[in-house]
Amino acid sequence: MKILIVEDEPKTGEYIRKGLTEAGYVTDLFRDGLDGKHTALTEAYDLMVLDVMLPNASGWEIIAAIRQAGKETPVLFLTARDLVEDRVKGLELGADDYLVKPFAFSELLARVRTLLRRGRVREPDMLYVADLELDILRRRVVRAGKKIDLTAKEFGLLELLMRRQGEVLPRSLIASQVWDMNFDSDTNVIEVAMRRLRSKVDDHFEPKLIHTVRGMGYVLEAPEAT
Amino acid sequence: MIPRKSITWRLTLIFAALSTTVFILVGTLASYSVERHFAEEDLDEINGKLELIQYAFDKVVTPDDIGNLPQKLNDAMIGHHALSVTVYETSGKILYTTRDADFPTYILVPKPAHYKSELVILRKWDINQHVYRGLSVQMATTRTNGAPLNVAIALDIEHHQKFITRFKQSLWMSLSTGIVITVILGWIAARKGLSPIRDFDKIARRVSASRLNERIPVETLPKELVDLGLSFNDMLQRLQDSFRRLSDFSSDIAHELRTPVSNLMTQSHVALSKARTLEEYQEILYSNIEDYDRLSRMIADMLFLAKAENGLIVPNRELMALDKEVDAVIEFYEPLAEEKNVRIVRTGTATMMGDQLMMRRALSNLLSNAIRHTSNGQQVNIDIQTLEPQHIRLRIENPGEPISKEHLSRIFDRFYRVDPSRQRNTEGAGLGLAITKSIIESHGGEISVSVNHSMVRFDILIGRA
Repeated sequence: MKILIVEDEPKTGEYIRKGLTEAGYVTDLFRDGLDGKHTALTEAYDLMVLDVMLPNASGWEIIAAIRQAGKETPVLFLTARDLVEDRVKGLELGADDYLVKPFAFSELLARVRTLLRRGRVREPDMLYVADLELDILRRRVVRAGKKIDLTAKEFGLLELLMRRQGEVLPRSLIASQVWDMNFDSDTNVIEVAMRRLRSKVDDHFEPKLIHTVRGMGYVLEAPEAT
Repeated sequence: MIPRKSITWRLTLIFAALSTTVFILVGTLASYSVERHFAEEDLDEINGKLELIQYAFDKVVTPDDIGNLPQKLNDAMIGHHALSVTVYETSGKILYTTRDADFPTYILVPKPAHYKSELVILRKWDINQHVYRGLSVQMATTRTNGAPLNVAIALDIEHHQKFITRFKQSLWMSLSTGIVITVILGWIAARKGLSPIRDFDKIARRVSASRLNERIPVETLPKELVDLGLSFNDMLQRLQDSFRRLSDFSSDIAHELRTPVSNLMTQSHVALSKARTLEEYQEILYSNIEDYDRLSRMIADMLFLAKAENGLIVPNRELMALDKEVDAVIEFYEPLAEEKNVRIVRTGTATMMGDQLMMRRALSNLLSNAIRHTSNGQQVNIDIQTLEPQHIRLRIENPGEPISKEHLSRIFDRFYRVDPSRQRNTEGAGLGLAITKSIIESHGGEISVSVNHSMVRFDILIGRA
């Protein structure tokens, strides 16, 4: 998976590159808008992360150019300005997502994964992690052969964690995906909900599957086989 | 550059134009009536003379009498030096003429007798630097052939004319003086009348960012300026309020940012002061992330408020069921409420045009606040009522410790916390209610808070459309 990053702020660009590389992606970083535009047009990428304000050619110009060239590569915009007009303009030009600075890296990573996953293989009806099974159609959860009763929202939460197993999911993404609360809300709620889910899914079982990543969010994963 | 128009000069000009028009009218009328008066006097005199002439004509019967006519007329004209008379036959033959009598030919075309006392046939002309006024008429005779005689008669009106010229001169002189005087008076009056505006200006000049407490003394203003003065004072009041809020806000920001930034700095410095284990470094980074997170939220919230204050938050209005939104938010808080053993009950329904995301955010802040202040085992009530066809009242009530009046009035202020000692971590930056308020206001609604019988009650009044 190859990602193009065009960001003129040296520190931000470098950290995004580092983070995405460590998450297993191949990345190219450019600081100049024209260089970025040229590379975007000539090489093949799976995703582009563009800053809006760039020297010599803005992010808007880059996306306009690649869309005009008929490329459907997903584009995620980063910006320090959060104006409605900007969002509208970005969407009109064919941007796929929009992230306002400052953002948490885990948030960026989660969105990058969502964009890369989009339009690919059909989601399965059954999810498995270690001895935990989740049947989406029958809305049943079984761990180690025992049926676990969950509320609708707990089910949604577990489904999200299992679908994206191994990914650190930020609280804001969880609130948005499970409860449709698309703003920074009281994060206590997510903590409490997660605690309750764990008490049902993890407390009486080994190994523990749901983990808190301090300051970043939650991840569901099976311990690596030793 | 277009020259700026001064009101004083504009008023003076209008005044000058008006007075000039009036004076010219008066002057024209006066000279016309003087002229007419003299013309009437002259006509009277001419008619008097014509009567004398008629008397002489009445004596004429035979051709011999015609021969005597000049003598008779001479007798009649004795003592009237200013008078010129010519008597002539229709054929043009002159029967009698006074000395120096000299009529322009257009006068010698006689008018019928009955015109003789009409002002219209009176003519004025000048010959040899003398001005004459006169006429010519046919006059009946008692001659056997019955033919009338024509009489041309004129008065030397030089002395009248001199008087009239002098009169006109002094009339126009005094009128122009009058115009000049009224223009000057007009200018003085306009300046005087506009002096409250200059006072206004003096006060306005004194206003600056540091002296926003200046006010126009409205009581002393003339009636026309009272509204202007009131709106000016209102504007100053609003400016003063926003300046105060802005400076409060700046100092609040500085204060709120200081704590996390100083934590971050101290921690990093201490961390680097000696070599530590990997776990210790990790712990420090985690703790830093928490502080960064708080900072970043605070910045986002403050930006939202700043935008709201500048009218940049425009709700994307769509039809929504308010009760459904409330239920969604309740569902979100359900785990937290159960944890605290707090029940949340919603009653009533309503639909409205609003921004779903923003309304959820507002409701979420209110509900979060209510749950936080409700003690174990008690209940939060949310009630939706359609008051009038176009208004909705949403009420959130929770039992809580009574809040004093002083706190209530400031509860929607940014960074305001009823209990300053309360931990910042659990309560956020104290921007939630301020954000709620700005969301409700951007929807054209209002929010208020009251306390009675140890129930804290938030009321939102909002239009449906």
